[in-house]
Amino acid sequence: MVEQDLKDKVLSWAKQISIPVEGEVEAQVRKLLSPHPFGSLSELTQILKPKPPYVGPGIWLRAIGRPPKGEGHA
Amino acid sequence: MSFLDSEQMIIILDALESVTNGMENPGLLEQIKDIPRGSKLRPYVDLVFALQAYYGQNPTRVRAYVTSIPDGSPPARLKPLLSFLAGLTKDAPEGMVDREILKALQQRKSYLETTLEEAEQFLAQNHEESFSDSIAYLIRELYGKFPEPSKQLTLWAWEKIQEKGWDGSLLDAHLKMIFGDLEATRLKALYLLHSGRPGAFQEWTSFLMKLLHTEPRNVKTVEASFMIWIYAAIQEHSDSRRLQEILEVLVRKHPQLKAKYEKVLEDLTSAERCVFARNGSSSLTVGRTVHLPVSSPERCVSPSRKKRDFVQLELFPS
Repeated sequence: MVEQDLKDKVLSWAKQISIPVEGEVEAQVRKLLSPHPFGSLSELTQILKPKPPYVGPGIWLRAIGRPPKGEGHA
Repeated sequence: MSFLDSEQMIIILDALESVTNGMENPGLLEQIKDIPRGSKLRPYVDLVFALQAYYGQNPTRVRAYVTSIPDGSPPARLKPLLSFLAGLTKDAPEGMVDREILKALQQRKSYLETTLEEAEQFLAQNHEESFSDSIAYLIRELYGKFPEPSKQLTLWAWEKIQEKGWDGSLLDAHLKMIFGDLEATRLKALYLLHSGRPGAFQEWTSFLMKLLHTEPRNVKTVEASFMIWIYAAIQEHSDSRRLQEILEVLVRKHPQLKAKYEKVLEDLTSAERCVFARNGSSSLTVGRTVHLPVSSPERCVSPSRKKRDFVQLELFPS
């Protein structure tokens, strides 16, 4: 969403009408107006995926052109 | 001896081994985390932390570390794959090694993914009850480990319920069980504020009223809630009785806020009274009522001193 964030809208409104907003109150405003809605559900599906299997270091090291330990590495 | 065979590199490789074999070693990660940006070893460190973030299912951190890896360095070869695995890009890289890793990491759908798909089907088939049950189940399951996404999912669910024109009472009941009454009310009000739909003021009023009746409360939280409440009041067309209810409780419990917000409330109340008078209606629901330019002929004539005092007496009963 390109639109200005709700937290910023409220805080800039407060500033516009000269309400002094202390740091702690601003933090509370931000907390109370959080979280921001999902832009898309794909943000959630990443979290819902099961933890990936641990495949060990070898496959990753080969991918960067580095032999795994025991294959040329002391 | 090249830097790639240095002792530090051995520690980095041990750290990489620990994050990719499921036996993460915080001591090793601690030892490598401060290797400076300028070091030739730093791209390897960023790769270790990108992998750690991937296994920790934290796409934001994956993005941060992948971005830090300079193009041209050997670890940069894994940037497209890690971005894809973390859901940051749509298309899988086509390299042979990439395909090999993807195959090794292939995984079945989790039961939570299946539940989300079911919820989306219920939504498409207009089954409010089943949709509410499935979504509430997901929200509950997520809440312990991922509190923020579970609340984002709540906002999404309210949006869908609103789009469908459903009643939402079943979801509401579920959410009160999950988050408690106060937080569930805040989330519903928050959705309405974000969406700009009518009802935000009313919901935020309910939230503020509940907050004011919950003890003990941090006064800064009350003040912030109160500020948002005034914001909602001027965005929407507030009901004078609800304004009055809140103000009465507020002045009794938090009199120190009176002085700070007196002027804003006076403006808000007098502007609404102006509309009230113009429309002759018992509710204040016609037209935006505040922030008319001072010179505007539409602006309400400033109340006399006597009138202002009368307004103040009503706003802040002793």
